[in-house]
Amino acid sequence: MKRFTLICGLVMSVIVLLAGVVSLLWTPYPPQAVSAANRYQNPGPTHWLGTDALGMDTASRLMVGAQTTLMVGVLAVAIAAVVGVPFGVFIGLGHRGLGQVVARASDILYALPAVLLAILLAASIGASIWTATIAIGVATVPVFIRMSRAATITVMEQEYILAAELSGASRLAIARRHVLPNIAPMLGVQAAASFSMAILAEAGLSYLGLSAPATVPTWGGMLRDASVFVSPWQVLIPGLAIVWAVLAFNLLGDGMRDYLDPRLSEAR
Amino acid sequence: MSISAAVIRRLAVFLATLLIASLIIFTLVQALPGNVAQATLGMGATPEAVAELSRRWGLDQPFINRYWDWLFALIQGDLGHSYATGLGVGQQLAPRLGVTAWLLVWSLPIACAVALPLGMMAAMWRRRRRGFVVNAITQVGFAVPVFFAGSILVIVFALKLGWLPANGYVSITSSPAAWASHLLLPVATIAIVQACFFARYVRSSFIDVMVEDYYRTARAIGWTRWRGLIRHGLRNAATSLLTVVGLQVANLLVGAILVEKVFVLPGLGSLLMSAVAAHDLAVVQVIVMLLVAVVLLINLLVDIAYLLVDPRLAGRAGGGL
Repeated sequence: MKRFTLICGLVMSVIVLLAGVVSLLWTPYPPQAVSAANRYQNPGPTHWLGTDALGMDTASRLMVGAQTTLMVGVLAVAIAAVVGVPFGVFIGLGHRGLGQVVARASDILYALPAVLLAILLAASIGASIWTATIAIGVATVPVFIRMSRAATITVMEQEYILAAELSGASRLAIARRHVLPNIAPMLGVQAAASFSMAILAEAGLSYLGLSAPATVPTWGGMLRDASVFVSPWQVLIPGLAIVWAVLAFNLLGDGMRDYLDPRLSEAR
Repeated sequence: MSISAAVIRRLAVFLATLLIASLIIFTLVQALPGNVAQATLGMGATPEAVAELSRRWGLDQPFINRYWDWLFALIQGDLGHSYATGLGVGQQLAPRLGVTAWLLVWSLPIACAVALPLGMMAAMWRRRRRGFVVNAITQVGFAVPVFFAGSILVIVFALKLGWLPANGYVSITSSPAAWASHLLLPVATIAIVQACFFARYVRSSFIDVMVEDYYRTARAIGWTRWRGLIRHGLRNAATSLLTVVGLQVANLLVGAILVEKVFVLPGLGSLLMSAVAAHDLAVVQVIVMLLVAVVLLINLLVDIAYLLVDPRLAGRAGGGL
């Protein structure tokens, strides 16, 4: 059962990854090829997943859309981890003043989720894939702070930390040599979970038109441009792609957690 | 620390957080002040006209002055004027508030009411196929973007079955029946997605109780599983649900913005999005401020509710990590 979750997540994630990578080299049709004669085709042998309002091939655009999804996800999670983990570790090592300040800052970020941050940035400097990425990344920082803080505290209760302290190791050395290697697997689990949340947030932002420009195919943008009244297929397909990707990285995270630490498994 | 002192302390933290949030929002939105007058008047405007408009709107003032002026006006209930239309922001906001408020007021309790039995079933049957199915449904459900869920409901209930209108809004005063039918799908959309998210927390809080000795004792003396879970588990699940609701309020508001777009509802979210498109910063900053204030206020109320349930928390600092 545990392996099942991990393998499901892994296979599903790899498919998303492959779609994005392959689209760099090859797509069934050029993703921007407009064809007035082929508007709103249903899935079939010529266009596997049909065509949209401008006659553009949905399968090709779906593959190219995976690029944006993956890139925004990777960058946003990287921002969150690079900013959040050092704060979390230092608070976990016992820096109380910093803990208070960061706790208040997290409160504010909780009230300002990614979409609201992106709306603020879009209103002042204009929406782009970068404002979307930064907004999602910043909004995810508290998650990494909280997680790495909790993991650090667990590590710090171990006896070898006491031994290291007694032998004169500095805080920084303990953090680098003992804490980081020990919390790394947990960080991997968190990264997968946050990645799926980032995909969901990016999809929402591109649905609202607050991410990549309209010319770049994105899953959220494809959903926005489609109409349930004209062609339900063109709504269902990008929507299912988002569900697939979110589910993939969720399962990957759950599977990794169960595999690394069976005690944390939900299915006790 | 007594409970009233703890409540006052949390109130102070709430106000301080609100103040800092207002500074962040104003800073982010007003990062490029000079361009507002230019953008409003268009590229062909004379520099004199731009300068005149900047002066009238106070855009030539130093940043910190503009912030204080905005904040003090806000505290006194003056929400400012739209840069795009010149109308009062409050005037634009008022008819929109009700739509978004109805969405949230209905969807949150429904989500909780669905999540409790769902999570309970998933916990009770966690080693059986039925439990696996319930678990899988919640796992998939919470991977569904709320705007996609809305589209699916429109396809099924409006287009295929023709039971409900696909979009639009009718006010409750003009026709309560039409109001309800127009609100049903948007509310269901938010409620279903949130319920799947809540159900996962409810499930693990029920499981926490099921591994306790007192639950085993209850079972040993002949209580049925249902009785044991309801008598012992429900309180635990309710508290954890309260926590998640606090954490999810912000996402709930974002969900409302997205759902308003799907169903073309004239709420706060659609006003916010059209203000963003028009670079109407005065409207954007007030709406975001309002949404943030609502999130912080609900979290304050959740915190206080906690204190009343568990007075031991009075000694601890509220919220945060």
